[in-house]
Amino acid sequence: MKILAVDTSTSAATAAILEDGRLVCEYILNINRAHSQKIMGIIDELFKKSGISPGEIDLYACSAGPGSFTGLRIGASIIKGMSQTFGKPIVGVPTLDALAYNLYNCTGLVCPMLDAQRGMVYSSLYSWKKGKLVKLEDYRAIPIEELLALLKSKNEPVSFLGDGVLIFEEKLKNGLEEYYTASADSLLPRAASCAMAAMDLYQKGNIDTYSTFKLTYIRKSQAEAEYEKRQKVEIQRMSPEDIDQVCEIENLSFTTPWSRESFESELSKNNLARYIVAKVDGRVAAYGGMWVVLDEGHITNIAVHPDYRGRKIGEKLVEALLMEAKDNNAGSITLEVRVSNDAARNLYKKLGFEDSGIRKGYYSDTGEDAVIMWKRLE
Amino acid sequence: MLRLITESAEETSRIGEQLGRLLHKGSIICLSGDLGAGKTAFTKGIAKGLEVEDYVTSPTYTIINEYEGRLPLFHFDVYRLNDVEEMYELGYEEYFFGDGVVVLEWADIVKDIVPGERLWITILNTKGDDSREIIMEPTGEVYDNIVKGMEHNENPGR
Repeated sequence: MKILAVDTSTSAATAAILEDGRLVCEYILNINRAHSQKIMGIIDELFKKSGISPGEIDLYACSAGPGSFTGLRIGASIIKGMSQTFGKPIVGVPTLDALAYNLYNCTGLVCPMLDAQRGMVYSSLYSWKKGKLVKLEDYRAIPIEELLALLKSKNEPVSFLGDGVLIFEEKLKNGLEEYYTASADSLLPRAASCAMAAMDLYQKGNIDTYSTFKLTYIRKSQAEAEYEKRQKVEIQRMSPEDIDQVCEIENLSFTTPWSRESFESELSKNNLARYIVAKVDGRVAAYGGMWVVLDEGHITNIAVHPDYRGRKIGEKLVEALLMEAKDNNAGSITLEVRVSNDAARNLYKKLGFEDSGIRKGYYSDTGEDAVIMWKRLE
Repeated sequence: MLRLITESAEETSRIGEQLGRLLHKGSIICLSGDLGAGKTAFTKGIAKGLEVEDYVTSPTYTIINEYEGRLPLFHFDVYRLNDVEEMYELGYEEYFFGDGVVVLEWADIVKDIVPGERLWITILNTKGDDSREIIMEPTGEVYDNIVKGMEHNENPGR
């Protein structure tokens, strides 16, 4: 059985052919980037030098992630293309498993880690038990400090490998008592290891076709944590005490801002008006208003304080106005937005608003047109 | 903040080239401006300043183009993205926190994930002819210095 394996998940582009457990050829090019330009040439070279033709390959192996998103896609698209052309199956090898195969039968813990940017690594943890690889932790993106704290608690010697080692070598020194780092020949992914891991997976029946093979990207929990932190936004009805801060935002946001009196009268005298604020840490970060006229909601203004822009607060605010409109038995809701305001138009579109017309020269400051948008409420 | 006026597309591109020469590893340049404002022309200038030899085209359909130069140039055009979440799916962090220069066209669309320190450039076609108003707003010391470098050029644009 002939296996062609490809790994482009890191700065190294590597390909190998394994025939019945014998490594026929392997190519590693670690000169960073432009994998898309190099990997086909590498594969071509392997075929030429080994005398094996592409049609003879029985199984394709490819690193399945995690790793560089772009790098993984390059490897996967090539392997999928060949698999489809020659009608042969694919085995996707988790990148970290393949790395663990670089240190076959190593004693102690094996910890592959790949750079995930901003102080994080994609990592897992393994130990070899009599020639069998045992995975001890899930694949995840983890801050390097957290990983080191975990390893410290295990109280076992650890062998590290992967490009994370190059970045965090100093941290390892200060964090752990007994650890080793892989030597240059086994530090980065090798297609030969990928092929060996693929053989084991194949025997277990983990086989895909070009249409079922999928990459496993690991999304960073940091990104998600940041995202959640930003979501701690409280929506409340606007009260007279909020008006000072609302006016501040109004003045920062519009060339012809509403006056303080306008807001006061909207709150106290206008029965049709509904005004809400979004607060972060007790401070007004954004506000929005709407008139409910018969069964239609008309959004009058929405503004987010410059310090709080880009945190999806506007989205929350509009969603709250939609709820408010529904509660007031409105069947539809409408608003005007500057033609040039792509960010806002995208947001409204995402929330289900549709363009329904243009008001020519609607904005008196610049004479810009307004797009009228509508959304039906169920 | 630095405001520059250019009188032709070549001059706009030349400003980009000057900027390109001042950039370093990890620089993030956000470009905003309407369709046809000259964001891609400006980026071509940056590429020249980074000694990129390839022909630079707009990555509207590919979203990211990579070029090799004095530093790698990662040219993003996020016009077609609907949501900032798609940036995570693209793996943008490899580029933004990598070893090259990022130029981000239509940066407003993905403002959520743009790092706090960056150079924000707005290109305005104020007069409706070939002249452009280029507004550079740096955040952070690194970018303040880049903009100072642009200011020190006696006759920027010429």
